[in-house]
Amino acid sequence: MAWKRVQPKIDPIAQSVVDPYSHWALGPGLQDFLLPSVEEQSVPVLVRRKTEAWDEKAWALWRSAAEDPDMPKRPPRDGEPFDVRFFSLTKTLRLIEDRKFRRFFQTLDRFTLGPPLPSSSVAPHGYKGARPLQSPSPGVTPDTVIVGIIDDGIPFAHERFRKADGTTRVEYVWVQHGPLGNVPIDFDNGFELPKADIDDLLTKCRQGDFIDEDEIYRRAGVADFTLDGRKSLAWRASHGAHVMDLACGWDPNEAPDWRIICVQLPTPTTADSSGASLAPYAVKALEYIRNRAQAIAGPGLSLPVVVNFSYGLLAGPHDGTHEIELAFDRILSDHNNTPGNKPMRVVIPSGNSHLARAHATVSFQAAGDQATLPLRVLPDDLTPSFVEIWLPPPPAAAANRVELTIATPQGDVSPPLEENDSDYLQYEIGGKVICEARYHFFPAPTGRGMFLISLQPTTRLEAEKSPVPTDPVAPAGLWNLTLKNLGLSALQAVEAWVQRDDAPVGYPRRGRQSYFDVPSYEIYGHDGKPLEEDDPDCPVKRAGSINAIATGKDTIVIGGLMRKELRPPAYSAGGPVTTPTGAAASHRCGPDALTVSDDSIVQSSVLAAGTRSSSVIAMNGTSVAAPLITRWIACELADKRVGDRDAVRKLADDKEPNLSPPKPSPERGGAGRAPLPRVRPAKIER
Amino acid sequence: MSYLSAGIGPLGGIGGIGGIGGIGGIGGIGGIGGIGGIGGIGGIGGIGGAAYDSPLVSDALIRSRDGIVGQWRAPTAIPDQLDLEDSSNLDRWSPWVRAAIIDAEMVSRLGFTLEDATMNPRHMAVWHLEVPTPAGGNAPAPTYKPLILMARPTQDIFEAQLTLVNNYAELRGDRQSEILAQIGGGMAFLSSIAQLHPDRTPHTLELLAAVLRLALFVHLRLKQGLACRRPLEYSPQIQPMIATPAHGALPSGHAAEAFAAALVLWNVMRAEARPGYDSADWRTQLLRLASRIAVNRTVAGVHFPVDSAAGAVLGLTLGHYLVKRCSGATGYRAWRFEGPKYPEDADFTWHDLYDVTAENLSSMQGASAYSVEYAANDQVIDPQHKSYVLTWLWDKAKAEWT
Repeated sequence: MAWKRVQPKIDPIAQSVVDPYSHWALGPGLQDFLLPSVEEQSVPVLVRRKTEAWDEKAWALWRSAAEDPDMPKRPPRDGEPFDVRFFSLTKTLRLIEDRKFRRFFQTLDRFTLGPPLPSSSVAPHGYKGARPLQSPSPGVTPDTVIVGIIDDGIPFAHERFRKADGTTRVEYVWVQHGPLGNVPIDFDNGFELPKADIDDLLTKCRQGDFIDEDEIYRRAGVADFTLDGRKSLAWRASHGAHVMDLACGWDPNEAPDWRIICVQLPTPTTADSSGASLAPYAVKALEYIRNRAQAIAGPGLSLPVVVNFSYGLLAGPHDGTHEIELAFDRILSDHNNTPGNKPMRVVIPSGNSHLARAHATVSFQAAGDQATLPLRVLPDDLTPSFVEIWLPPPPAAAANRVELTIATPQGDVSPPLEENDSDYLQYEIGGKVICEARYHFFPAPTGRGMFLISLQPTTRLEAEKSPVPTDPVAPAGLWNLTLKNLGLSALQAVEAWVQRDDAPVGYPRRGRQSYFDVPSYEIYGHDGKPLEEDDPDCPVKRAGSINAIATGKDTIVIGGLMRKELRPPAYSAGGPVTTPTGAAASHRCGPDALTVSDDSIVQSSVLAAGTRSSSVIAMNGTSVAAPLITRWIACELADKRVGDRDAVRKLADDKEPNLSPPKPSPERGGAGRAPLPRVRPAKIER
Repeated sequence: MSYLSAGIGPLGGIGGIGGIGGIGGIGGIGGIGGIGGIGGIGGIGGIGGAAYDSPLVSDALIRSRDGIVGQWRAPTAIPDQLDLEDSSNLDRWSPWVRAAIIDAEMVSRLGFTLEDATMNPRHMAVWHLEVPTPAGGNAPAPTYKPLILMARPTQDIFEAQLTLVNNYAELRGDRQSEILAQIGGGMAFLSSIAQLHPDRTPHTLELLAAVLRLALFVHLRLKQGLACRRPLEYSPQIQPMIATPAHGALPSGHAAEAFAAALVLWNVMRAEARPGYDSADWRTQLLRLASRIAVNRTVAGVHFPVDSAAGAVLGLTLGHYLVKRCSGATGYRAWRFEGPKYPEDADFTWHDLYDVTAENLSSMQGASAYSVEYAANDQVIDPQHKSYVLTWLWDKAKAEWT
């Protein structure tokens, strides 16, 4: 039982760009990163280059690492400065560890792993099974709008997404995992269902005149119980069904020409709370929607697109430089700045973690001051836990302004980990790593350093190939994270977030959300209701709990609102957002606006589709507010208006004067409240 | 579900079993018994029995008679005797009494055998007994006609099906309320499609109770013969969400009962030719419901999908057979379930088994033809020997669907 300092073995250049979570995922956390009982697994790697053009030598190394004969010898010239490829675990490790790839890493500023897929879901090199792009349905008019949905449990056969003639408005579905057969052209994993296939299923899967949706999803391979893996569409309700109905569901007889492109994220990724990033999948999903929208528009033409992405993370830089935010902003600005292109928008929820106690802000009065953040790690947590502690931008000359020590629940105190420390800390029991802490400096555009603390699960059921657990577990209890000020001014705050460790809607809970357990934090007010405002003297802050992928520049961020009370629900998270390094001010201070996520404090949730036609269920969260704005934007785009961040803010601005006060703060509510009409039920009061 | 119990009394006996299982409400049996138990006795006996059994009332009746009886006199006129074996007499009896009579009519015409060791696989055979009216004082000479033959799947099939049971476990949380509500059978769910109510459709409920008991007798007898282990006997990780009933796995009783009841219900509903009931929509919805009830048992962890397939084939065969017997038809369709031919990894898909448009079980072709007709032609039954008891019940029930 001891803390030790460890010198990294890998090349410092690689070390400087590899996402710090990767070291845990491929090291002490490997057993939780890998899919259980899957022999062959493929790891998606998202790289972002410093420059737009590929360096030729770097490309050659990337190509040799991928061992993909299909990759051209000359680096591609067009495209964004990021790329996603799948690697076997062995190749991923070699890429990071083998010093011959140094030149490759020199040209990057990010290298991020996503959770693996079974290799059976990933097209092998030279795979020829990809079918040519199925022609989209014709008849595009000036009123046509594309709505993109990236989610889980997407009910593409549902009547709310059909036209009056019974055919679907869904043009393409990309299921990012599943048996290969129809890999979408230009993508590497899962399978694609074009509209023609869905219409065919809608015709064939019938008894008499009745469409059999069970049979459609069974044949499509998304709810086939002979296959393993989660089947969100076999459930009564799914996140994706509810969100998609709010975003673009219509009575078939009233449906406008809104064509839908959906991406089902891999269910292991959705379920994952190991800290691995869903970035590679999310970035590819947005590219897919963009590309297919272009195919529907036809050569030389363009259609307006609005995409709903109701997902969230807790920890991240919170300054718009999370890799998902950078990629999304880049895709949006490239698209929207290309002459002749119609607008493309992305809507993201502001997050539900306002009361999660997962955010803390520490400021010091003087050098030598100390502050302790007690991290409450819960028992029965089957997944690892992570804390990110972000430091202010560094001064011109490298300095050690803060140091971190960690005390285990049993009181073993670590040696200090310093800002700019190249070594990292490990806490071992019986030769197994329980906790790891490292400092990582994220190069521009983030330009700030972060301490990442990684902890093993607090319980385990079993191990791969062993019915009894053999992998390490961390003791549950209070892990005290102590920061000592060596050179920060009173104005320079340190910000800490606990990473999300929670099950998505409908998934079994595996993780348990750790939180900062500070005695001075008041949960309830004198009236017995949860307090929604912060105490300035308490380091644990509700403010700043905003979704860590919702601080981008161009994405539209939406918080929740109770229709009756016209207040944000207690969970709806907001800013402030960290000012990006080198900027005078932040490009946003929180969400852009609030819209309805709950009908009232009593009638919590809003109604929208279950997975089967005609079924209606209640669900809440900022996840269901975002698609209401997506729907509004689709209407705006159909009417040839811009439907951008400013338009959404103006929508709220225009509504605010007619709403009873108080108007929420800009950090919590952006430009204000924008109650939009109910989607379901459309014709009666709930 | 209790309102479905009208007239199912006779199985007070089985209700007894239910009582035992009752710790359970455990089994299909417990369930149906449950219906029985509450049923006839509760509904009718409730008024009669409770009133007459009350010491207060019986004491009052004694005093009342004493007060007014007067001197004994012979009656001046008496009624004629009732006709022998006459259907109109059935109107006179309590529903639970009729149920016993109906059971006798159904079960006395069934035979069960296991094929001998010269056959591979050995089928459990269910026979229909055609019983002509005996002449003079002679004993009747019944003829055995095939109704359904069923062979058990191989051990490899059950082993492979275990994966499906595990995969379906994902839905337990989603289906919990349905699974618990259907432990005793799915009658409340049938009545969510058809307007069943003891005041409005008492005879349809009697008819449905009859087909449920027919299915019960047959599937339990087959389970005894085929002796198939339940999923939890194969793996300690199935961990069903309800107690596994103490009878065999194949055929699924829930599937047999639900499919048989669905088929009888749509047939009786449309018998008076009310517009609408003859559309495929009604039977489709009833079959979907039956399938969902069957699949829920796999979700719960107590049945393999192949059990549901066997149960569905059995239920649809029995339902069809009962409709034919009730309505005085000249024949019925006999069937075979060839368990060893069931594809190892196949899920249960009801519309692979039954053609809702043509309204018959689909006779499969090829190496995995596990559900096939017994013979190209119907088994002939002589309408002369039809059961007037069953016909009485059928006619009363169909009159409720105008």
